[in-house]
Amino acid sequence: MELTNGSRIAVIGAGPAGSLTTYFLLEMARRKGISLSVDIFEKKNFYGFGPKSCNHCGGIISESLIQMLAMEGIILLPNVIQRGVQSYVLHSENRSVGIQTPSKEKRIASVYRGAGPRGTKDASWSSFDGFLQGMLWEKGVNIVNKRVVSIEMEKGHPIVNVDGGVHGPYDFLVGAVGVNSRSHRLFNDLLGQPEPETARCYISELPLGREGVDKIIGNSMHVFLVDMPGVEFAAIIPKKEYATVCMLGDITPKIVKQFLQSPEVLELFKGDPSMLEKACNCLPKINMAGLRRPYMDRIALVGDCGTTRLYKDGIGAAYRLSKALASTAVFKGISEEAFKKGYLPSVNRMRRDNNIGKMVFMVIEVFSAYRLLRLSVISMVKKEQENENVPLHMSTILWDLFTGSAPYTDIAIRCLHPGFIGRFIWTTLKTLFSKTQD
Amino acid sequence: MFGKKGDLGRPYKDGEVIARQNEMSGTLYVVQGGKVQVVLESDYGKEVIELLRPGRMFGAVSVITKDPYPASYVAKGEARVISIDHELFMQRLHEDPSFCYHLMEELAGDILSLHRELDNQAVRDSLTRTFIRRKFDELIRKELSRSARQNTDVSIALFEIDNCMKINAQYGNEIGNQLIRDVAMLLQETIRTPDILIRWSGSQFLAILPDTDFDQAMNAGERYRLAVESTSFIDEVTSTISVGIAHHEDNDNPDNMVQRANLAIGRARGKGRNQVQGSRTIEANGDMENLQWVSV
Repeated sequence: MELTNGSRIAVIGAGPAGSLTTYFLLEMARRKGISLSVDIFEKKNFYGFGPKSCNHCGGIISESLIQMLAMEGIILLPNVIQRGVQSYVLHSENRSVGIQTPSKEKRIASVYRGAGPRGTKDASWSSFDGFLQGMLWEKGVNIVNKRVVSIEMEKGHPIVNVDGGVHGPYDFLVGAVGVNSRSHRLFNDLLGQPEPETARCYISELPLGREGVDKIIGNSMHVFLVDMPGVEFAAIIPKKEYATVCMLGDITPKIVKQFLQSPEVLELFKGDPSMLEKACNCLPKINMAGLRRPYMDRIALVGDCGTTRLYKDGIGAAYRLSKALASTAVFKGISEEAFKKGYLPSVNRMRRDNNIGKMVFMVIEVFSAYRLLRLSVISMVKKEQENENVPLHMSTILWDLFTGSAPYTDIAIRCLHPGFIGRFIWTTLKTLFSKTQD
Repeated sequence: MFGKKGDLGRPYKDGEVIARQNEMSGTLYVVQGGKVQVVLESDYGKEVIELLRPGRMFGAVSVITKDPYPASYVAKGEARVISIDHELFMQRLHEDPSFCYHLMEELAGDILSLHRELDNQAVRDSLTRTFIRRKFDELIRKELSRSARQNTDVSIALFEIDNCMKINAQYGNEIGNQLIRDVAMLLQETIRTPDILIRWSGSQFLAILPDTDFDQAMNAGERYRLAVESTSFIDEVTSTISVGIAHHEDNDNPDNMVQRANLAIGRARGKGRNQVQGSRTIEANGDMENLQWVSV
């Protein structure tokens, strides 16, 4: 089972995973000297505004991914990038401390995955997903703007039923449907596997205007270390004219309200709750545990509907896995056996790293739950930032954790460094001592 | 790579140097927006050798071999550039070698165009980029055998820049050279695509005109003359050309054609320059004893 000259491919979903898989399939086929015909199914159009073209607003892309994509020949246009984030501010217990990016290539940038939030009329930016889609369109990919109703196998080949039509049979089908539409159920029966486990996160867009964002948020990501059940991460991230409130974990509307009314958040907005009027908000699902075997003969899943990185750097994960999938399909074949050899190792590496990530976030949750520990984290970061001679242990651990710049395994190993633990215990004791003296 | 406003890709102003020739830095760059000029500095001065558009990379040699940059890279207008330093490049290379494929294609393309350029340099005149005289035999033979096959005519036009020596003496060598280059460029633009322009001597050019009979060549010659006459070159120096036309006759050979064109130029010179003269044999049989003059 191999892709040959003229093989027909269907890709369901044109988010980053679907688009990047398509890009690499075409690119690698070209390298091999074969040409493929690709239909990509996407019901949304990323050129409108608001819910119809919404692909959720909370897009973050790391600088190293921008560099990697440039090396691969994908040059992100400057207007796709909302804002480069070069530092972060940690807020907790009425204190805040600014942290500069630990090293040059670990910066991140915010993007709009879709066209922009509700109420946007004319935007000076371009959608990230729309940009990738446009690139594929230029490469001659056929974009089918219809909802996929079902996928069937006919004589061993997948066919795609859409509203009012049938496409196929195809030689190879890629599912990249995410976890936020019902489409991922299309694959449950085919693959004989349950849906991926999901949790809800929270995203809202605050229309502060360009000056407002510059003045209040700046080019920093504001991270809040707060004790709220189910919250693993809460941050406010600057864009061009909006700021994105992002909460990860298992988020409910009640928790969101509690967070937005917390003294830390109000302090950032100078006690003016009117600035927290949102243009739109949503509680999208995120993948908490991917599929063990996201493939079968002639079908493979990629992106959130298969396996992605826990909480962070979803676009980076889509890049790595879509490349692994495409190179397997083009150079090793499209049988279950080929995916097991070529694609599964990359999937498993990410799953293992996510398991470690879960433990790291559990530790963070414990830290957030105790005032003493929160204070210790803040004062340790402060000390690292103020003294040049102090190694940036805590600062880099937090940065990598908040931005998704390093594998969780890497972060965990650094957390277990005796020097780091020693320094932290010392800081905690000092904080405890100064507290009792108060 | 972020600018001050938190944008992606470092912005450069017009004329700002991104990487300097002969400097060591080991950074690879990708043009993200705008244009970047590749400027080669040598004893002869600065020369822009290429204009890089978005997507093009530069500095790869410096990253791979750790050699200094072979040229300077300068922003043309406002430009944005993504940079990848040596350490990061090597780290990524070991993680996923296939990420270099695009770069390999770029480098291969560079080598290919360099080869073409070298091939060109061997047969092109360095001042005017027209073919060198040594190529004439080969080129005219090709055209004559094609015309024999297709039963079409071939003509040649010999051009001489009038008073070139005088301009040289009056304005200096540099202006003289520039005039020759500008006239060559104008002729190159005026001749048809299949025509071939050759630098014949210091102030002479020769054009091979395929699929052109004697009368058509005379008309073409007049067109070239008018084009030069109506153009003002550097510092409003005007110039004119004399044109000698000959065409390929029966039992003819290239040497005879050139000889006739030369005689025609001589006649134009004698009659006061800035004119077209043609020369052919009375029987049109290559018999050089019986020549006939034709003027426009």
